[in-house]
Amino acid sequence: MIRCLCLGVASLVAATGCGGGAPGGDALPAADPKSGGAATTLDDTSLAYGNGVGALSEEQEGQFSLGHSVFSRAWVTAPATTDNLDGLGPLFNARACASCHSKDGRSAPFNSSGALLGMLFRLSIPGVADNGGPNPDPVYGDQLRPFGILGVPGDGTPHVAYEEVPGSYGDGSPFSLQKPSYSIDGWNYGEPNEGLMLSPRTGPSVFGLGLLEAVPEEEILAHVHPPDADGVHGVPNYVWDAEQRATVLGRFGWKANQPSTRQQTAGAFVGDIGITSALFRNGTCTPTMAACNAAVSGADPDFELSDQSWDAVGFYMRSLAVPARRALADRVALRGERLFETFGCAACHLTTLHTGDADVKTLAHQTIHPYTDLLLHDMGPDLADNRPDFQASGSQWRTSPLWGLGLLQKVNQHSFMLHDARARGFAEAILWHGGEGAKARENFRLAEASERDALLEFLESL
Amino acid sequence: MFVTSAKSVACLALLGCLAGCSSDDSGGGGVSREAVVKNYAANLYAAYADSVVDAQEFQTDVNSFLANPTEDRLETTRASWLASRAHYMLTEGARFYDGPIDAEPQNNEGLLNSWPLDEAFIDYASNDGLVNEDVGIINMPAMLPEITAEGLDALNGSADEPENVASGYHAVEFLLWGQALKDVGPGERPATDYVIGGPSKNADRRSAYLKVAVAGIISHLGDVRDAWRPNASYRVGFEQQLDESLGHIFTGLAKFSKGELGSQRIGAAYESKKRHDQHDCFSSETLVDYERDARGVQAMYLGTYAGNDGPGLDDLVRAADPTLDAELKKKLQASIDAIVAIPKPFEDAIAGDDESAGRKAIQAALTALSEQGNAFGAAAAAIGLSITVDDPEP
Repeated sequence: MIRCLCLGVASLVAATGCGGGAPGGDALPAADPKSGGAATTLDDTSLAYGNGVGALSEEQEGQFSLGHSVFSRAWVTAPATTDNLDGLGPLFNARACASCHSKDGRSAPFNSSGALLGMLFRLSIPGVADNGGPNPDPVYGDQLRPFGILGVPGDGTPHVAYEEVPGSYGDGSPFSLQKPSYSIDGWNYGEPNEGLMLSPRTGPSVFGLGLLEAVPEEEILAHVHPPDADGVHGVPNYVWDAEQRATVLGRFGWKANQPSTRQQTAGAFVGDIGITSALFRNGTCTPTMAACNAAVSGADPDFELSDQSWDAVGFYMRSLAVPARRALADRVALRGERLFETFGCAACHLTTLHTGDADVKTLAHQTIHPYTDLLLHDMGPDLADNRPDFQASGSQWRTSPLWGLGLLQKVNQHSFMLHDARARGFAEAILWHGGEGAKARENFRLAEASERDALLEFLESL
Repeated sequence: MFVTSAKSVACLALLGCLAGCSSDDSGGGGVSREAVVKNYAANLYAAYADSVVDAQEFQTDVNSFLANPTEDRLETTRASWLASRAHYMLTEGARFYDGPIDAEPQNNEGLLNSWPLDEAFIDYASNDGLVNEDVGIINMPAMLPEITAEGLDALNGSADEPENVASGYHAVEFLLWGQALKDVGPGERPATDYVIGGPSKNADRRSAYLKVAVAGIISHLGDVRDAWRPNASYRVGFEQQLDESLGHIFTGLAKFSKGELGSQRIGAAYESKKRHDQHDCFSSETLVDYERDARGVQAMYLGTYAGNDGPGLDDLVRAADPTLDAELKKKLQASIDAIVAIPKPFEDAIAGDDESAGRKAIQAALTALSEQGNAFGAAAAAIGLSITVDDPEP
């Protein structure tokens, strides 16, 4: 057998030279495929987001199995024979984690029937809650739940209308962006507060979270600096940690409003599915919702999500591997990677971070390429939701990780991007950038077509 | 995760290392990669073709039951359901590489074998002894006025809910057995559920549903079979891209062993101790299917199917590393033996503490399947392929 010594784990980077251009000259160094360090998967199929990291102990494999199952299973109305999965709602957005994170990926804004259910709407009114976070609407709380169990009306029904906004690249070729406007009708519990603020947010993919959680706080804060020449100025969000009962650095969510995967998980269970847990023991019915308050609970005895399931589903999400970068020696993609730097994208979408200690070997002390600084940036008025979230203003968003995004079409059969899925692919997502991202956007918009294509090719390789 | 490898399909397919990585077509021991890939495809085609015939025979029994819905005929039809999965379960190692069985957007596997399912999405269901007769597609004509195969497929996974399972083997299993309400043993749906004008509401819609769901199984199996037909374009491509296809074959076997059969079908239920987390919850025949699954994986490695013993992956691995091949064969048999050793029924075996005979036997099967999955990764590496072993989606 002929052996091409191309792909030992340790030699991945060097070895990819076997398909690259001739050494020297203008040849670019081949790219690092291991976007998630040792927690990288080579799977590039439609299941690419759903692989566990390697080197789990037997006990961790058990946790992963159960977590995967809890993540996938649908909750039902209590009481039910499936007594570890009952207690849905009474108000809810979805019945399962996997409803909005299909194949551990990112939801499309519309479901197969065309309803606007792939995103949720955060709600609040002016002011600040006791924990420093958004001030919930007294009747509807902090999130719109379109559904209720039998006999409990949902909050209301969200709608979106899009207006096509034409624009053109530097070379005159046209593009069009769809500008959303949101509305909610059928409020079932009376008119909401006059000052109600809405923030539409899609369900993001859930792989690589254990790596992001393992990045030491000091490394994230080291990237906080005064505005640079392009006005880029990342700032941290500080949010309430309900488990520690303290204000801590936020890392997860579209506005970095969640401190940990554990809290994110428990928060999504109670907010999105209506499942109470040790952390959030109270359901989300507000005092005036009579049928909601009267509904049967699945609590056994104090709450619905067992600690075992909570631990397991949190572990599952922390230990999903990151898809490897592809097209490592593709000259166009490598040129695009260089442009990603020169256009200024990498100022916020940081190429490289490092993890510290972690309970899983393959998550600890890794060099990773998430393309985020986990900090907030002002993205300008066009992307603003005008709803503050802890320290994040109405126009600040956390830099979104870009790893694995080139496989979105393959895994989730769509290419909608940004917090409310308004962008139809990478180019539109870039063109929506404003505020601190305006300079980089203009560098892209005004570049010649081959450079724009190269940048997109690079993003597709992630 | 990465699996250490020498020459790699991933190198070819994923990392773009085409130049200088020429494929060596002869695997050694006189068996070529081409022969192995072709034999795999031929066996898989035969297994899907047999599965179609199984489903057609099952359909005959279903029709005979519906014509005269007695308890005796219901028993016969239940036995026929279990028999009809004999060949299909042998094919399950051919998943997880976007092949004809589970490539999106059709995802035949999801339409054929989705589980678990929300019973009340299909038919009446009992919650803590209170039967709600007015739920499910059968009892809510507004959900689907006329029950058709297309209509059921469209409702499968509807509202993006993974357990809104309307079609496939397990929907049919529920229609034949009903909810399993006791701690141990199958469901006890009465045959009178299908007596039109009898004691159960909507027997006509239930009968129509059963008929259509069975027809749907035949149709989706037929689609998969046809994609593997000699000269069908998928098969032709599969037999040309030898290294890529071998990578697919190993990937399917590894992921199915460790991630699906191990982690999701056995491990999740072991952890939760909940009977509805097993594969055949209504019929309580879970362990029959798990044994078939494991035997199917073994046969795919050996290149055998229904009396045909053709060139197998084992021939390639043995030529590269005879010790590894011997170890893998031992692991395949160990997994089967471990599953056979689990006391039936499965829902009884998962109960109790970790020192109970049932749970110890299940843990042994989990360990065996996990090792088997990792061994497929090592075997793939030995013949110059690099594959992903870890957990797939259900």
